[in-house]
Amino acid sequence: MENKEYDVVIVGSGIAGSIVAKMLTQAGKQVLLLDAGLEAGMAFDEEGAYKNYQDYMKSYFMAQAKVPNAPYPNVKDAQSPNVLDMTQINGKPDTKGYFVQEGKLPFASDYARAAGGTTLHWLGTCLRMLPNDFKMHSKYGQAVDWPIDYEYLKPYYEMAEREIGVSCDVSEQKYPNMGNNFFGKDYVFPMLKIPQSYIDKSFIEGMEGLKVSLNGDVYTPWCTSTPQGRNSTPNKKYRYANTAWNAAKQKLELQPFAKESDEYVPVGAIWDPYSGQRCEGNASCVPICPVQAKYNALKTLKSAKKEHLTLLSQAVATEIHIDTGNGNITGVSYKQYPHADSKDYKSGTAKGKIYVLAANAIENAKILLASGACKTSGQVGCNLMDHTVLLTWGLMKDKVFPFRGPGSTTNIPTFRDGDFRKKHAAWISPIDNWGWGWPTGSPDTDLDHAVSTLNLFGKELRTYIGDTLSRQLLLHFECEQLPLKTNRVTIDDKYRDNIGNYRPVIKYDVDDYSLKAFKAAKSVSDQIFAGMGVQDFTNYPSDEPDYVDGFVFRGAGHVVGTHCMGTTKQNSVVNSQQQAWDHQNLYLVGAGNMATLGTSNPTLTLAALSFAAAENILKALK
Amino acid sequence: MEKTTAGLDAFLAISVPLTGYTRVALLATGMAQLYLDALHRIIGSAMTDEYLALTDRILKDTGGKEPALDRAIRQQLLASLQYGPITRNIIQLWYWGSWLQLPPDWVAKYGKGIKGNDNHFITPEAYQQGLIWNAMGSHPQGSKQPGFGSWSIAPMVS
Amino acid sequence: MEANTLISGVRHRLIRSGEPSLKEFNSITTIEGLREHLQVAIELEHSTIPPYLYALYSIRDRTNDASSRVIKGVVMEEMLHMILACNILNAIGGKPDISSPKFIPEYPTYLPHSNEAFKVNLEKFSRPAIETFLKIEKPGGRDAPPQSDRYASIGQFYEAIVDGLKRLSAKGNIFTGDRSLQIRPEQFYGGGGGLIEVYDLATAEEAISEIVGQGEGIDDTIEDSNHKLFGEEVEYAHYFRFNEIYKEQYYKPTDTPKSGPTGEKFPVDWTQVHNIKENIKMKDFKKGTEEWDMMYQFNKRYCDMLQMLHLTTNGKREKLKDAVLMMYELKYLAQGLMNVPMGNGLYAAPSFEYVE
Repeated sequence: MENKEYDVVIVGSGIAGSIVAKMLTQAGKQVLLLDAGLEAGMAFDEEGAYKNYQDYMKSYFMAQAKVPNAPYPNVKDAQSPNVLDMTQINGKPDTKGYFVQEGKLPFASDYARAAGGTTLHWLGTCLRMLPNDFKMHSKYGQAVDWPIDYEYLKPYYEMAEREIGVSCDVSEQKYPNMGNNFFGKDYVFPMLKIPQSYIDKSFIEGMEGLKVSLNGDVYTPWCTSTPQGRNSTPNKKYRYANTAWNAAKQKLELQPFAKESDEYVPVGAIWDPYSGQRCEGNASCVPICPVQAKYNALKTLKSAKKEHLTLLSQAVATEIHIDTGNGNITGVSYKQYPHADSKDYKSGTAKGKIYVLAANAIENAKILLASGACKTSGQVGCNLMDHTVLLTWGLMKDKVFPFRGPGSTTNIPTFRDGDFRKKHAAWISPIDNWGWGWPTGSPDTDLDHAVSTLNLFGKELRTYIGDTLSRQLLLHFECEQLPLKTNRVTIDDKYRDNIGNYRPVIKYDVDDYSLKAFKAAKSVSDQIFAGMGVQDFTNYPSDEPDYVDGFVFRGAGHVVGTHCMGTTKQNSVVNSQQQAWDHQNLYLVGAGNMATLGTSNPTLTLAALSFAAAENILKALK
Repeated sequence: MEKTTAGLDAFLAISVPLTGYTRVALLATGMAQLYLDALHRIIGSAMTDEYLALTDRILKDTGGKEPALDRAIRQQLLASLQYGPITRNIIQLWYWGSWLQLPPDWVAKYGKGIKGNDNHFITPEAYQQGLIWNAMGSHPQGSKQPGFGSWSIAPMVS
Repeated sequence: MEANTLISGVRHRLIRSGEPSLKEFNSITTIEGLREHLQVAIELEHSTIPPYLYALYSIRDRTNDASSRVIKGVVMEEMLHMILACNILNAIGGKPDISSPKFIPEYPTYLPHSNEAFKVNLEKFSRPAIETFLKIEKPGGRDAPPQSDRYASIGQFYEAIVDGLKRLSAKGNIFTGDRSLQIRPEQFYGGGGGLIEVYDLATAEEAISEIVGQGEGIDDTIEDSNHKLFGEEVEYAHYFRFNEIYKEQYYKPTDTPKSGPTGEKFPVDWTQVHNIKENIKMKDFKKGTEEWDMMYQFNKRYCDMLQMLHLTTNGKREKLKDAVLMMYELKYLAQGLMNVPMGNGLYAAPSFEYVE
């Protein structure tokens, strides 16, 4: 394979890389996909895939802190960031984990460098961005406008919803300023909505009629069921079989079912098509869905055309080579390690007509910086964004039985858009189904408190747990973050990993736009809690990693920005085709392209963008 | 493995009032022997046997009856500098499946040289068999999944 | 492990075991007779589920993965068959009865209406258990005539039903059932095959092909009918899947029923099994003991679940999801019982008895 030239070389097997690989191979192109993760994670045969996943499960069960990356091997040769490594930065860089955190605040999100990428431990929320999210500058005088708009992305959203298998009731989706053709006439999702939780029902009932003041305006917040990438009951009205390249029209298109009687079949586990045909309520979506009812990118990669796809695992892309004459990329160097944590590696160069970096926003930036690529704008690595998540928690009056079902099945979309975005960030508020797990480490911390501090045992202990943990409520306020040049990923010769690759050096902070949103969000939370009779237990200790001005926020795992798309080669790294301005045969895909963040979890948008990118690449290859 | 040993019987007998679950409910977890083994492994057999002799005496002296039993457990086990931390660990083993590191002071005074005294789940099954989930009307996250849509209604607790 | 996933052999046409000779059996000649036999079919499908579950749950956690997946797959398909039989019965204006005390067989039991050649026990995962499963799923063979009663293979029994359906349809429309009683395809998941709405002879035959094909295979192949009916990846019929466990060897694509499996070793560890009592009963425990209570709790939930299935197939099809939730819970209760010692080296297990 060393000498073979492929049509396309892709770096990364997460959702972006897998979608591009699937679309290109199905259109007959020869693709080489490099992935940094362990070979075992790439097993697609029944026994191998099952065994590997059971190893993940075992690690999950045994992990003391069941954080997003807990089930997955942390290989020194392709390290993943871990949220357990995030601590306050006191003056000098924190180098404890994989990230080198230079501050002021630690960037608090992680990702998984394993086959399937971070979709292994994503929650599965599949919200589309709102029309105004694409024009923050012209609408609210903040940040920038995208070079594309919602209408452009709409057909690709539909492809992404097919690919991921989104469960959603379209008639319940009401967002601010969504316009009257947000979903298109008669559009339905592949599957009916995931049932809303018992907590949701109680919460919705409790919030009924409540009016909330924000910046002097009065709102009546509402709840909607959340679209999710996990399997539910198929919707008989859904009519698309797959997405395919139409060579005549030079377009990707959703293909209708061949027969009237055909219906959507939920895609099960990669080791067994009958496992995971429905969400079974494991309540562990993050970090791992035991039955793979939740979408992960391995499902997409498995359905790529095998004869046209070459997979290379344990191969860490380090650098892309640039023809100084025309700026074209001539190859990708990689280091292939023989086994986890090995100090040795074999070097290689992969060659193709077109190159695609799909290695996560931070890893993409690292590779570009290491290669001196995309230099014109000076924006590579800049504009790192995440949803800063303010949590509020309390005890409901009645038992609502949390720690069951998918992480979140309902959200308050009311503050996703509005004039207030001129002053502060918008946010979405998912209602959490897993009690106080995120902020306080419940349930075991509550157990320890009951046993060690309250001195409870026996029936009293059992009753206490039954009476209190079953009433836990947790709300999120996931605030958008603006693209700032100063929030950035860099590299530094001082910081290299086990096989000599760069570690990401991160500078990160939140600005006033976010801080004002925290204040506003907390005020909304206070009003909701008071209105519903929720006993507030929220507290923001000043020793938490991301403590700022009386608030503690957390990372959402939404790693966005770093090679944003824009209108000129001076203001951005990629153009509206997701092609690098500086290198004609280089495409960057993934959330790194997103110019602003909005209030949607980014996976659906990056998946839609990846379909668009695949189409552009196919056009370029013709 | 199949025979219940005298030690296991004593361990189960005290575990019933400590956890608030019946003997059969505790047996059904399949964890009893493993937890007892963990005690032997970490705090040593001498202290384990001593502890179980004490709990046996408490059960006999009180006839297993309230309120005497409750008082004896509090005074002789929970309030004991030596046995309090062990007792709390046994409770947490049953409820959570994980051993909790005994505090340095305890180790210095009663457990010099003990091994394996770090936070750890005894086995993957231990996590899955924690009683806390049942107590709150749920199931262990990632295990014993209750089925599609189960979360939209109140739990069927058994 | 490639041996079990792809079959390159000849694709057989979907036909059942040859044209039967119609002279030597008690044919089904009345609609009442047909309904009775379909009720028996439901009972027959159900009667195989407790023994399969008994063996499945007896396997220790994290051991015998391959065998567990085989048995679980078969159980899911037996549940599908039971619902398919309900759909056929509902289609011809019958009323499935799933909740009466006599619906649950008392183990050990003969298969309902069989020729009583063998008894089915509730026993742990073991060679003898798998031997019994092989007898249950044994193919009828080309020459076996239909049998509405005292059948030697389940295939023969269904042949007789197909014959009855055809015979009676020829005289006039027998598919008079309310279509809203049919359980729909999207309501079934988690196993091979698919649910079929039954409303005429063709769909009824399709449903029976599904049942027989999944169990015994079609014609003289080791494959089940799914790939022909549903375009699924090839799977072997129940008999042959059990035979892989029994012989501890995978079939190869080129294997035939006669050759037996000749592929790679199929890993089985017969020792990683809970030592549970065979054909256990609640009366093995003293009433009022914690053990007895737990046995009762299982059986109560089991009967509740059957009641829920009864409602599902009698007009309240939305109840299926509740029945499914109960099935999940039954599993955990059963696994719990298998950790409870009986004092003689044996452990408790779910007894699948009718309780009020």
